[in-house]
Amino acid sequence: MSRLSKKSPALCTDLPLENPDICQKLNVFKQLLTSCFGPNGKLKQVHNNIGGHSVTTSTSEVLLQSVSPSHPLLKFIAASVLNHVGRFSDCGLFAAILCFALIDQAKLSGLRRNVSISINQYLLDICTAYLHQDECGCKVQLDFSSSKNLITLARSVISSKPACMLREQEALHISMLAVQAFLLTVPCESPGNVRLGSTVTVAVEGPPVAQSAVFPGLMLEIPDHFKLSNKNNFQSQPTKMVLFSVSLSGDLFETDEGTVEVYHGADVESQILDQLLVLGRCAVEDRVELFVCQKVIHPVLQQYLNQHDVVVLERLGAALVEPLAELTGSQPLASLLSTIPPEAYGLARGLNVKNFGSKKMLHLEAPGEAVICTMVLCHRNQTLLSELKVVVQKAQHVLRLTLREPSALLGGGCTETHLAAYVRYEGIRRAAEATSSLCCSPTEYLLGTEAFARSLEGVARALEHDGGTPMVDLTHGHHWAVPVDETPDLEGKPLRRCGCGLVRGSSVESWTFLSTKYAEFSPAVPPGGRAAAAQPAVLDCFAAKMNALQVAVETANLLQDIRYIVQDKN
Amino acid sequence: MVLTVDQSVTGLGIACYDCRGHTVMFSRGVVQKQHVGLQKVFALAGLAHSSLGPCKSYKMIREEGSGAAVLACSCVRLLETLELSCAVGQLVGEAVRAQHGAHGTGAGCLLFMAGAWSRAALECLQRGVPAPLLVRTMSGVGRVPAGVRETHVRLELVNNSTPPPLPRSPAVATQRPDAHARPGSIRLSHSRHFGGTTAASAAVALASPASSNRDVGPAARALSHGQLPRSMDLVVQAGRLQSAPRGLLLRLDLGRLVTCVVPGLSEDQALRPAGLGGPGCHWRRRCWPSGWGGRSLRVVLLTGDLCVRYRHLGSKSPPGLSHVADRLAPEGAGGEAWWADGVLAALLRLGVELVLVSGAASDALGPPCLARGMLLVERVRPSVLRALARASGAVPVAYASQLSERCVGAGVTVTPWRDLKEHQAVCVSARAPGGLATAVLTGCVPARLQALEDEFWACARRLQRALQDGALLPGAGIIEMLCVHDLQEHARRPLAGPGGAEPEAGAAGGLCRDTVLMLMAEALTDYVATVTANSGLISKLQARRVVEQEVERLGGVAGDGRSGVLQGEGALGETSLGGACGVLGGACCDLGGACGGLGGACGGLREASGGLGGASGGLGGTCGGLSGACDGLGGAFGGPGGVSGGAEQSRVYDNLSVKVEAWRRAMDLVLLVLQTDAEVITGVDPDSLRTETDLVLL
Repeated sequence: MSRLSKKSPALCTDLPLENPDICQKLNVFKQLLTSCFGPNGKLKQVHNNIGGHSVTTSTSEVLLQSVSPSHPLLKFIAASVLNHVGRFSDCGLFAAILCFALIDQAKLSGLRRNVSISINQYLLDICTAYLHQDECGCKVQLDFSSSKNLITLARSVISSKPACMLREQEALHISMLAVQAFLLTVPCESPGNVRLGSTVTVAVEGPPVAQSAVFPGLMLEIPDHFKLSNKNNFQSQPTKMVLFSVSLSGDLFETDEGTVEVYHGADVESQILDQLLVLGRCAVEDRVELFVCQKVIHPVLQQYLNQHDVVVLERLGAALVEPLAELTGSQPLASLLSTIPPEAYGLARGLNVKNFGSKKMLHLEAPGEAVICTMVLCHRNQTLLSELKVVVQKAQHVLRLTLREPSALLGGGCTETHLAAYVRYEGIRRAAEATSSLCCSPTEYLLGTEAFARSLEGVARALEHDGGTPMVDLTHGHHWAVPVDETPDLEGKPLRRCGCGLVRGSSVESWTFLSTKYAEFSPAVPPGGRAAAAQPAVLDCFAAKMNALQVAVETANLLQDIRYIVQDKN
Repeated sequence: MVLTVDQSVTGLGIACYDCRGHTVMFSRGVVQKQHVGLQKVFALAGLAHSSLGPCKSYKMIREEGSGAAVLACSCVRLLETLELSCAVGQLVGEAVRAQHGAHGTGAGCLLFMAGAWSRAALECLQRGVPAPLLVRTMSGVGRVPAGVRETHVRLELVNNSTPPPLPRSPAVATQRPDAHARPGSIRLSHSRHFGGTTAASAAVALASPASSNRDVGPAARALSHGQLPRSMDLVVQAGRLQSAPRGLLLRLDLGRLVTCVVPGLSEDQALRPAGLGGPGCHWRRRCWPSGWGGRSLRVVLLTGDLCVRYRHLGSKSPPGLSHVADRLAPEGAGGEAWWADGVLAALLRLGVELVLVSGAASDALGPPCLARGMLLVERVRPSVLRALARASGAVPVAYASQLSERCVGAGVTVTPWRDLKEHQAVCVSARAPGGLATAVLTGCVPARLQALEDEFWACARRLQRALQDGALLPGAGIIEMLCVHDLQEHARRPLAGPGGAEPEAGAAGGLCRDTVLMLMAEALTDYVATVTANSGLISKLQARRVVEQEVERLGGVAGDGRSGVLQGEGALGETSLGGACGVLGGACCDLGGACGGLGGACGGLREASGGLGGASGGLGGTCGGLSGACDGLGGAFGGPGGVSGGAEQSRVYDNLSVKVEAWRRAMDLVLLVLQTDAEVITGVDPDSLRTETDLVLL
């Protein structure tokens, strides 16, 4: 009986959002995420307590993946943000900050939980409807006949992450590469159902960022002493190739738990090697010129193939198998058949070797139209490179999302302030209708609207980290950031440009400080704002922000709805 | 998970802890409300101070537990040994490693500048410069490297005895872009990692093939940075060996250059084997097959180990395999002796006389091979193996069972190199020009061997880089002083320039910007002063004064009108200046040579005194464009040795791309740390946190 340990009782926390301990944790977590937001965001160094590898980042995805909070409420928030980021890549921090702001504001407003939840939901619907309208003032139609807006969109994503440490020119170069890679993955010849291709990212440490480039086709890393023989004529005609995903190293098959008994004197290894050589002979007879394996190839087989002028490439890695199969039309072989089925062969074109810093790569192109391209990213050190890789992938995802919804939202905090102004105006206009359908008093409704609008403004305010003064104009409802070393002037000298760069200071009459009360107004569309010709400097992904808005409100509502937390302590 | 917020940690000292919790280092004078990350960088960079410049002091690192000690001779080795585990330590280590991997040199400069700029950033924060403005201004000083690029000197000019054209201050350069100052093409795609198995495909030649760079002596000496002259001499010799005999271009292919470190001999016996060098592999047994004198041999190359248990990478036998037999196994079948017999038979059948193995060779093979007149050399570097493969036509294979007539190469000769008691080495050379060269480094103090090898490779990388860039930067602090001057100019200049840099910034912003620029200039001054003071000739305070005077003088020259600089003799009349230059340049030139000590006291002395004179010549020349006049001055200030005529030979130069990259990486590091505001520690045990009150468990 001594072996039985006593079961400890479960721990139950009543009204978790009012518990000071949990509030402190929420607050620290909020600070952690809020301080990462925007181009001036602060970076975080994450490492474990035994001195493991440290990560420096300000992207929500990397941060939340490496920081795993242990408290259930924080876990919940982290999970919903990660889930959003997993599907849309962008606006993870936006979702988290808005969620925290909504919780805080709801607490400040003193509303009953169910009232606050229903008002939030109601206002979310108003916002969603507005954003989907054609005359929405913070939306820009994307013009696919010019790459300008696409580059702006990509650049907004890339330059919002300071850990990439890119100079202005470098950021522009990388954005252009992202757009170029995106365009290369769009097929132009296939009618009917269009299937987008994919971009493979290769990171090279050492060379300057300016050497980053995009290539159609694939770049496969090769050993330093790799040489293409002159005998093959790779340039003029397609190269026949075969791809193996099974190891050709001469391993025995996995026996799991069973044992294999071998008669003494029988050489298992040479038996398998013979089998491999049969395979090699088959490939040579079928005039294969490129022999690729995901894993290791036995040196004897390599030697045999080399003797027959076959280019051998081993240790390709699992990530590249699928793109390579797609590019060449080959089928990856997963077993050691003695003959290779003819349909498994693929074709590649234009084999050549390229150098990037210390890496050497074999460049392959598709025989026909390629929708697969490779982006080689160069940066000075590993920390910067890993952040850059994440950010570029994010930018590419954002660009793909534009195909689903060819519009973008104004960035730089302008969408948030504009939306806040709209919510105040429209919310109050619809007050009578709302109070009856939500069964709340007009005062409660006004408080709830104000809380929601302030939460949105809170996100715009989170862009400022160093004591600058966020302001909002009373014509278009755009966000204006006054740097810390300037005194904001409400009437005199106009500010130069708003956060997204669409509105000029000269076209605005009056400003007010963000988070002060102002008489509600219907935010006007900036002159030429919706037209495709409008050139805001900062754009956000429409689909991502839309979803982030919903995720934030729903997560905040759910958190407010939690009455008890029960933790099993065993 | 624990979160510490970095901004407001109080305390009198910060400590960097290694993973065992031992304090490895302290820094004093930390004021409240400062950026702890920057303080850490600054404290870590303190390590680089003494290993900067020609006169390095070694550091002994002792492990408390085992009592074992290591001698760290450069900051790369130092950081390697310390194994910093804190987040900032890791970032610093990563930056230094990346620089060292890409260029093989410049890590000390990087670490120092990171420290100095961190201090500048700290000072700025303390004076209330807003962080975004600080980041913007500091990263905007990409102008410094841009300016640096303009001041380089072409390699041929360094090698010719004609005085180099004056490098102009960056500000001037922007006004008068000089097409000739740019090298034909700088190929940046060839940076390769040091010493590894990287291939030798990219031999570097000078960018403009028309001109000869065969006589790189002056440039090499200028790049040796006060290290023992023979390291650089060895590199130059190796380069000559690797180049075509009568070609105009000097080639240096580090992939085919190997070092062989032999302990036990005195240092001055460091030498290269005569003839076309080969892998300096030790052959333990004292027998030498007779009748091999220079005869062409048949050779096979094996890339793995030559033993029965060797399996190539990725091959693993499953655990569930058992052998069964219905009678007793025949004697020895499948054993090592049986295998060795098979290999030997195969080798004999092919008529092989020389076997080169990249890994280890089985003991069962050595004696029988020798007995049959076959030489087995193990632990040959893969790059050497590949070079020999190209030269001899042999095909490297992984297993002895793969050997066939096709794999056998010919045309390789072997000579016994030297009888070094246990370290008997052979010299393998191929008849075809493979470009292989071996540097044999000897030393009687085993702890210093690593330093010798590092030094050799640093010299090799510097020379290779110089050949690649085709251009050099004037060293001895001149570039830094030009940048200091430039930064000060920018700071003093009113902001309303044409298309001003930050038109939106108000007056306060302008003030802040000036503060940042001045403090960054201060950091560069500190660098030059430290290098000078490290020479031991003058104190740091004096050095600083000298540097300040020099920068002021630059300002004076600039003020006189740029055109006057070319002929203007007046600026160089100042006598104190010549002396200062001498101190600066001399320190960088040859003090290290003197420190090396063993390399011949007389030679060192002569070189050092020549260097003193020459440095002032170099410095004055490059600063004021009056090298001729300066040389005279240099002679005057260089003391008796200055007359020896070594003046021209011992200018100091730096690598163009290395310095630019080192500064850039240092700036990246500082900006990265500056923008970091919190450190998150994961995987913390909640119970251990009870005592830590300022940490929050999430």
